[in-house]
Amino acid sequence: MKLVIETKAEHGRAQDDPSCAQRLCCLADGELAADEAQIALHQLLGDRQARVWWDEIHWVGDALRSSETAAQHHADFHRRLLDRIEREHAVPQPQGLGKRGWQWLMHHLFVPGVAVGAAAAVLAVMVMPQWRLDAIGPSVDRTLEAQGPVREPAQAGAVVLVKDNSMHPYLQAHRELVPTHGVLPASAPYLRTSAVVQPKREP
Amino acid sequence: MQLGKRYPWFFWGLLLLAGEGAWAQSGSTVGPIQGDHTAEAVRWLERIGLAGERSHYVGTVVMQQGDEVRVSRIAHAFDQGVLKERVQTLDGAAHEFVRVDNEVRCLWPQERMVVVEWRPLERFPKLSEADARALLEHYAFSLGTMQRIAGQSCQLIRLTPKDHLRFGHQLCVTHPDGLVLSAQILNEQGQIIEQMAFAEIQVVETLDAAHLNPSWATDGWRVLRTEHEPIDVRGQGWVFAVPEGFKRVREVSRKIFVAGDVARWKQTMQSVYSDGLATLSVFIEPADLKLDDGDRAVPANAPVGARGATHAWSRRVGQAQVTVVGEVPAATVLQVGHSVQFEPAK
Repeated sequence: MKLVIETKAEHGRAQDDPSCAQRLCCLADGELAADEAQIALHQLLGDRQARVWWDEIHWVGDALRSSETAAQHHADFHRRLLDRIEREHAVPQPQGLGKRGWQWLMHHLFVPGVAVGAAAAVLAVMVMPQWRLDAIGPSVDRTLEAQGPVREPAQAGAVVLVKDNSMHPYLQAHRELVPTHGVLPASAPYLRTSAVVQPKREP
Repeated sequence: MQLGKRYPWFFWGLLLLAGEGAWAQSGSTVGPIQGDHTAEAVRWLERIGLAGERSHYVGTVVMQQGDEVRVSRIAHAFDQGVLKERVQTLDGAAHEFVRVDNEVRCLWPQERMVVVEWRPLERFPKLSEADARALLEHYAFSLGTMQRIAGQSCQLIRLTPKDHLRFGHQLCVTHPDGLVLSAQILNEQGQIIEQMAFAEIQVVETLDAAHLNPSWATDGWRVLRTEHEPIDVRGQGWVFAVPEGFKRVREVSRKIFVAGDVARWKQTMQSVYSDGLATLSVFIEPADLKLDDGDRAVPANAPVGARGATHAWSRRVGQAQVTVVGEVPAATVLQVGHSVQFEPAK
């Protein structure tokens, strides 16, 4: 993943870096580019939360490989993890997945940018404190319209379909100043924001 | 909205287009244009840019973002070097955009209000050869088969991102002119997350001015002008990283209305970036501690918001609220948002 550092960018605390857990998953699976691996190792060495996640990633791996191994970490964890995966995304039941299954799951659910929603569900399982699986909502994709303003801290990778007006001022401002150069029609920014609500008139 | 009932013609059209997207995923495209053929890709992109700018047309276009569909009427002309366009929404709250060169007037009849937006000067022609070559650094160009949209035959073109930080695009353009009849944005799985397509279009030599005039007389309407001044965001001590290929287009200081209320606003810095297809904005504004969370346009530390291909994410950095918005994947707005830092001059 190449980023041009226009000025300066550093990775902060693991707690504040939603890609940290994904990066650690890829590291566990041996599928991390050298530059990303360096970041992951740096976080592992310097951040307690990253080390907690690292342990938890291996618990998940253990649970998928064997319920007996998982039971050594936390009673009932294996069953709840499988329930969670099945309920959220109808991922094939990973009983007896073995090494191949582990790699499949890591590859398809944790590689950055792939199956973001599914990854979010499993990441939520991993990062929720004290394995409060029951506290996680029934679906990662939620609408603000249905549940009102979000007041809880961000979950790593969670994407919310926005159908209320919360983004409108920024969408309008973005539309106004993006270039209408080039390949896409000049009207595209206006079509994209045609559903935004009208501003309220001053009394 | 019940798509099949209200727009049966378009519903089936979308299904066909979606099928086309799946087809493109299966690898049955004619193939990527590489090496010596880059020149051909550049010619296609230049042609598309020129047609989008210089053509005269009027038509009905349908926009789909997720499960939301909107229908609009578009009239477009390029008259003596001046771009003129009118976009009328045909459903939802009545409003229309009337553009003449770089001024865009948004008319809201129910509110009897005109919002005047002033776009910073854009050059003509808009897409240069250098722009096209820069775009091909980050997207692979390939040609598909000929298709038919809105009664017109069109060439399928696919622009596949070379990294995970941007979405793929699939266009169907008239041959040989290059006018875009449909545009789709695809995620990494090749699923269409946003698309627009003409349901009918008339391309003409000259467009009657009646198609471009506002639908309503606006005498006595309230006129609200959005204002923005150029600013050096880095000079203010704010630094951040953007994906390779995104170039800074402009940076301004401007007002952002709180909850769409024109009487309540916050002064905000906005940096706009583009890679030629995707754009993103970084907004930095004071976190108003007097407002409770319900008043904030985007709550801090909320999950990434999504509307079609547009994603947005907001976080608190010290006493500032940082919001990143763009037609890029959620991971990209998160990465850009997390990179924002304040480094006051020493």
